[in-house]
Amino acid sequence: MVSAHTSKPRQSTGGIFSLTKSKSGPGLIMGAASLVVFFAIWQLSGNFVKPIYFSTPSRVMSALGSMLSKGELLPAMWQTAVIVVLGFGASAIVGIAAGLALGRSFKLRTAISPLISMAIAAPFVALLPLMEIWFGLGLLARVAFTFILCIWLVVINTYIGVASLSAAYGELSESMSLSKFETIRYIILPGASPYIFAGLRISAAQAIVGAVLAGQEVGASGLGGLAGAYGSFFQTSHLIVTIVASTILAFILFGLLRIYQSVRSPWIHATGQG
Amino acid sequence: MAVSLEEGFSDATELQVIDNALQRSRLRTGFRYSGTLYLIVTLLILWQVIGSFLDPIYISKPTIVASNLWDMLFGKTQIWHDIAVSASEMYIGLAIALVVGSVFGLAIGRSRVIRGITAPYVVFLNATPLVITLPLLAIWLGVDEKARIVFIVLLATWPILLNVAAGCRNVSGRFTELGHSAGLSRTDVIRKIIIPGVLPYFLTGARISAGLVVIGMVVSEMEVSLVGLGYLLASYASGFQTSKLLAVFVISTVFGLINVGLLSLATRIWAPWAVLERKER
Repeated sequence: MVSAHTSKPRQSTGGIFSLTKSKSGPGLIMGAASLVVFFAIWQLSGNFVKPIYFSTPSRVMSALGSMLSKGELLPAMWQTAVIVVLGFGASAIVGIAAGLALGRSFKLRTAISPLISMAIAAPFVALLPLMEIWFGLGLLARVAFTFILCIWLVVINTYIGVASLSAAYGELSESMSLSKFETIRYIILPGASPYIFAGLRISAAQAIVGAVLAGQEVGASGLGGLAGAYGSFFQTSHLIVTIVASTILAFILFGLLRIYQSVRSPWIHATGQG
Repeated sequence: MAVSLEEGFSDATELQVIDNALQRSRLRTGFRYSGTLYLIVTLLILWQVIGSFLDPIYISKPTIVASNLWDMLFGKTQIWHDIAVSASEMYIGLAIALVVGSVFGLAIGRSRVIRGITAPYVVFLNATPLVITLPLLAIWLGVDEKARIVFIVLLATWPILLNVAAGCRNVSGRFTELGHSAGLSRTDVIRKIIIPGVLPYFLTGARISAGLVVIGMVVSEMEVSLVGLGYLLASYASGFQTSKLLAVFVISTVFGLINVGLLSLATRIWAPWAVLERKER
């Protein structure tokens, strides 16, 4: 029986809230109204609470301005993005390949899947310093760390997807006399793609977390490094800008993944599986 | 050769069904995890052998890590204080997250108004890599337990909130209408329809959160702490004491396994229908 193992849960965007998008009218208005109220309260709070705690929208905007003009923000976003893309990309390639191998072999899967479930529960963030020892203080350590964080989820989702394909797929490939490679490329991968994309989405969230964390610890790089620096100088407004920037980066990456999914397998969304 | 090996061979011919059943029964004779055990033993042996050739700073050796583990738990350099601090942070954080996540999840799931109002914040915060908020939490609450627990709560609330809200939405509508047409009172609807309906979602979210609190604990202690398992990890790392670092990593992993294992067990007991083939969340 395939059991639902643990994994990191971050849905990208949408999910339950995609429903507010489809009933756009009242949902949008309520959301917009609540945002207006939120910003108003936030701005006014600056008169009562010391700005070091919450800052105010106006201070945050001016911090944003200064960060952009000094060229701090965009290069940092770029650095983090590079780590994410490299780490996530590598984990996607290796993870899907491994998931395919596991999905097709019952014996391998029975032996290895408990280990992978354990790996998902293990806090690999603890091994970040070890990555520093192995790879030094540079890009490779951060990418390796991101890779280790992401790969388990890709593997597990891929092999669940592959294993869940019904026998009809196997029969189809036999009746068309496909080679092994062709079977994988034209039948198995597309068939398992809802699961694969779900796994990629979750692991993309992990990748961002890993890249930011690695940036904070392994030499001050990227958005993580910025956050650490601003934090130690108590520059709350700049810190808030960094947080928002990381969220925007996350949205961009999830959006790209969504676009790729709708190009590759548009039927996933159309049939309500994604 | 057939690709399906677990569920769903409904499309197969009878021969295929019989063949699958035979295959499964053949493989099931004998201890189910024997393959895993062989694998673990092989990996340990490999680790020991490779570790003997490399500088111990890289991966150390299982024997050294094990002896460090022993020292930490029962020997000369016991770290029970740190373990207690970390455990209390994790479980207090988890408990708070379970409550907060359920309350907000129920509210969001049941009321369109609340969903509309909170949508921007939920979508935004859900996508944020929460590690980046640690410096901000440190400014607000200082370098102590409160900041770490708040971080753990932040991290762990999302799976529960999202899952409970999704569960509510699945239960509302058809099922509650069914309850009303069967003449159930409002409290009965809540007790007999909504709560059992949402329970599998809640348990799934709780299981994910249980794994997350371990990570939250490690990360927050690595950065914002002077005590606890994460702090030990950071300090052993800066001292290049790899074997001790790995020993603490093992302890953290055990916590993770216990948390996730207990909740998987709970799910199997209370909502066994949730343990079906589904996408990993």
